[in-house]
Amino acid sequence: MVKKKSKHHSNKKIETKELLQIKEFVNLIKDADIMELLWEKDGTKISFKRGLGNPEEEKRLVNRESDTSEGQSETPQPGLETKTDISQMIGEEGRPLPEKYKTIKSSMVGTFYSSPAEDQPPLVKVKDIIKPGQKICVIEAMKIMREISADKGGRVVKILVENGHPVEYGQDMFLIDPYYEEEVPKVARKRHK
Amino acid sequence: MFKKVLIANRGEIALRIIRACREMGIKTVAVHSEADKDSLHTKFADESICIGPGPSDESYLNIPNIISAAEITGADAIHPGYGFLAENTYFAEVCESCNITFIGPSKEVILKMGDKCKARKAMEKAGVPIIPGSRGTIPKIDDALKLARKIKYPVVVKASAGGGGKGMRIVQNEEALKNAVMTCQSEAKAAFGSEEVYLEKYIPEPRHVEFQILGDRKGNIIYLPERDCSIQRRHQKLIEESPSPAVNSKLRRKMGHAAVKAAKAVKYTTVGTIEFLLDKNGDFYFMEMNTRIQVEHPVTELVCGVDLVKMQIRLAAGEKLNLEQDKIKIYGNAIECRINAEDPDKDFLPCAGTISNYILPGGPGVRIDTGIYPGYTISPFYDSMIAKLIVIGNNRQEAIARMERALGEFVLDGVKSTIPFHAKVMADESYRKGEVNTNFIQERIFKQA
Repeated sequence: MVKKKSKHHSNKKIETKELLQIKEFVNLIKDADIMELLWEKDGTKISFKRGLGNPEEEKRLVNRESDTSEGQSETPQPGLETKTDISQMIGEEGRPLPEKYKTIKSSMVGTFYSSPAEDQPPLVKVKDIIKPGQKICVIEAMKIMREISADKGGRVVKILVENGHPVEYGQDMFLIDPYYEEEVPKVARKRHK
Repeated sequence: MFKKVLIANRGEIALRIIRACREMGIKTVAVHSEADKDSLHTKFADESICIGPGPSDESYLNIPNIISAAEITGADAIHPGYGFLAENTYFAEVCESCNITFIGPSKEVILKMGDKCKARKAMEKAGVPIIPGSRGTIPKIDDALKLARKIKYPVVVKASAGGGGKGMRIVQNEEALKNAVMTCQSEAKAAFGSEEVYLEKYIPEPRHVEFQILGDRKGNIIYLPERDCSIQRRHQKLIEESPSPAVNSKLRRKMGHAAVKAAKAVKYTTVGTIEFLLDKNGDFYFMEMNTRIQVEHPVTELVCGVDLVKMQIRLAAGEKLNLEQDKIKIYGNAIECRINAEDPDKDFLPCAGTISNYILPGGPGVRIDTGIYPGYTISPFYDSMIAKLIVIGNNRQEAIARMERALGEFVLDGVKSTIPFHAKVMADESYRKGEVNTNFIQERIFKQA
């Protein structure tokens, strides 16, 4: 026997549904690089605005203890002591980075360059959407410049190595949000509808 | 002198080199695989670079990544340690072309001495006694048969590109020769990339006696007191001592001069070792030359007070050899036991495991060369050596007593080790009398079990 739902009960149900939707929005904006979102439907408006965090706390880098500055050649090379430790990075609003973020790591030892030549623009910038196989940087080793291809796709959140700095095997070079690589095809499909 | 040295190795030898450099005021760069990221050598060096994943051929044998690591850190020299790229001619050549000093002899010497057959020829030409055998490699089975009849069985078939006891077969009679040659050829091809083999007379129950030599670029070469490395299992050294109980001062001079003659014949520089086989009659024969610093070098360091790694670095930097042959003294007896993560009760089966806790022996005359630390895991990628335990005593009896004491103090939790095996050897009557040869382990220790 099906119980008839009282009016009071169905009102409560609608509220719960809306609350769930709001929660979903909050999660969406929390994880995405969105400053403001306005949602409007059937006369209902929901506005989200991200609070500005302390810019100094936005990111922290871990420095290696090293005194490589002594006894070096005349032109001191930037050492690996400035390499970014992902586990210590803080995202916006002082929260840790989303777990879904991935990194593209170096499979070589050498010097990182963002473009194939000094007079050329960087192959990749922050906020670019990259595809697997796309050329993203150049690593120089033993006087040979090797173009490096991305092993994963997504949106570039941050470039973790400075131009002209050394990289070691396994070092994180690019911070990627893989969510965006999946997003693009869905939007395209919707447009065709 | 070098400003910065990159150590292309791991474990205890990497530490050894870093220590020598530190005392000399030279900056150090450690390279490591991902499996070794918490290793001691990465912590002791001034800088460290990850060069690849665990497997050796992707890390410690990865020449481009190692050279690149030297370039980005500004290292002006690379010390290859032992094993890995230490006797790799191509690596020495790449270092040279990148203006990085390879701490070792020239690539020509490495190439010549790396080919065991060519080395034999060079020694024969120089008047160094060699084991009777083939002039060069054996092109056909018939040549092998003819020669074996001439030098008389038993004979040994050896791989030309082999070494360290690998790629050899002892043949007792003519019937077994053909098979032995063919098996050796295919094994050699698989292991060393060359199927060339040569033939030597088999010396029964020989002692393995080797001489450390030091040479500078001006051609000055001296020898240091010999090491007796007869205690071996499957041609892998387990225990070494200096001086040899079978060598008196007259024989030492004779063998030492032969070692210097051998080194001079190939214009050897830095440090190296000439290995001889010494038979029961006091006759000795050149076996092979090792163009690297060896595992057992501490035994010589304790016996004559020469820091071999520092000497190696100085000689590689072009300094003059500042030691005189007649000033080299022997200050007692030294013994080294190689402690491996192997189960001596199960045919020395390598044991995996994590060293949860340990107590190292100490006290007078005890030296430990090790890369272990609490929580160190024996890696499946690399050799199973845990530590080298070396002792020095005023005489051989004291050295043995000291080694027994030290082995008793050594505690290792978490892995099985060869410590009990070494204790058994020290207690063995023949060993204590100094009556050992390369069959010792087989005859005395295994038969007793």
